[in-house]
Amino acid sequence: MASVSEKTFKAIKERNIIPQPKWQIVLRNHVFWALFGLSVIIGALAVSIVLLIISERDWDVYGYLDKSLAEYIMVSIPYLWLFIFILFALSSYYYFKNTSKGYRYDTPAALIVSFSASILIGTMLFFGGIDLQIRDLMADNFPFYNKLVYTDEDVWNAAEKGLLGGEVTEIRGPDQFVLRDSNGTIWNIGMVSTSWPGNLVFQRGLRVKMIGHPAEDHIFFANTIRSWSSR
Amino acid sequence: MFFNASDPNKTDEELVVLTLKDKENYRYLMERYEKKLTRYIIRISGIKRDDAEDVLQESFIKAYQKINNFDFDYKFSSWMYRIVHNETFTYLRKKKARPKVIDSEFSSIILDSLKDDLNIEKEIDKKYLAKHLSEIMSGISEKYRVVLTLKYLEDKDYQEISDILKKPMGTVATLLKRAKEQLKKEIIKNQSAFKSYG
Repeated sequence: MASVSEKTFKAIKERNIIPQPKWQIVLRNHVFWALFGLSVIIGALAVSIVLLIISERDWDVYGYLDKSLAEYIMVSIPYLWLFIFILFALSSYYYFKNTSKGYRYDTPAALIVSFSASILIGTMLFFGGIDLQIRDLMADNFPFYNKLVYTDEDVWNAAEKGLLGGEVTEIRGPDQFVLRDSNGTIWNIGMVSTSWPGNLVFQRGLRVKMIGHPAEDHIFFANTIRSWSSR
Repeated sequence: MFFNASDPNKTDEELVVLTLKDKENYRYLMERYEKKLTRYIIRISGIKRDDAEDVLQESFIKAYQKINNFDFDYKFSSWMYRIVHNETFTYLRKKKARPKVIDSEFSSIILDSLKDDLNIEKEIDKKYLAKHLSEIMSGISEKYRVVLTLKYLEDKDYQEISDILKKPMGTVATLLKRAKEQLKKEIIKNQSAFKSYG
């Protein structure tokens, strides 16, 4: 009676079975690494934007918005970006575990690799300034974005509470200029004993945030002016 | 003589290289593993020898098709065991069958190997054990039986078990620990039932 080896060998010959080409196998392994890398990069972009939002938030103005610091922190947490980060960090974990040797790593170790890769690269992107472009791209192209994220526009679009921000459209004199807020409303801004950072050069197109008080007919008196972006 | 694949001193990995050059050499690799893999299939599934040989044949064919996928960082035996392992459970799923209780010879080897680890010798009636080994083993989860089989019957180390089951070594250690605990619990439970009926 033929052994299994003999029968198998006969079957291989008769059915003309050939080994799968190496490139197919290499490709499969590389696909998982590529998907891992892609997930890490998307997760990293999300991390960089989380850092951007946190670093650019004006943490001293919550009082004007009738919020406690805790409430202000809660609304300021960029949940959407955190969700995207966690989602892609988890998917990078999945792809990492499915690489040829991924299974050798314990779940906590693989999770640490996946999450820390995104955090590390995201931090580097944050310092490299990529985050600003991504955030602006999202804010400009996705109408739902501003509804999902508590943005600076939300904070600085409260003239009645003393907070107003927007773009300088005209400079009318040393103590007066015109500003268009994020809703497109035109404001006449008056400056009396107004403080602003020395490096802030007033010119058309400059985006600013102001603390002050409103007057009638879209007039706003600014006590403090700061640049829209800290970077 | 240098390229003689039938040379028993050739390592499995050398035979893989030779197989990639000439498929005739695959026969020697299969012959090396035929007996132990048939035994392994029966041990983890309890299926009949004829069925086990069919599973093995499918596994050998699959391994040949994937031979370019063999990573020389692994042991060939781990790679082959993994394919056979997967093929066995695919077969059971297709047949909608659960792995059956292993034979008593198998059980006694496991219990013999585990006697010191389990520290059960004094507590247990040996006659009872001899009679009820299969019953006891059947009370253990399938994943625990597999890991006990690989460790104590197939004599695989943690790294090999990790590569066969595609689980981290830490998980393998945990599985083994729990397997021994469950085995001990089963033995004590069975003996208590035996005494109360006896």
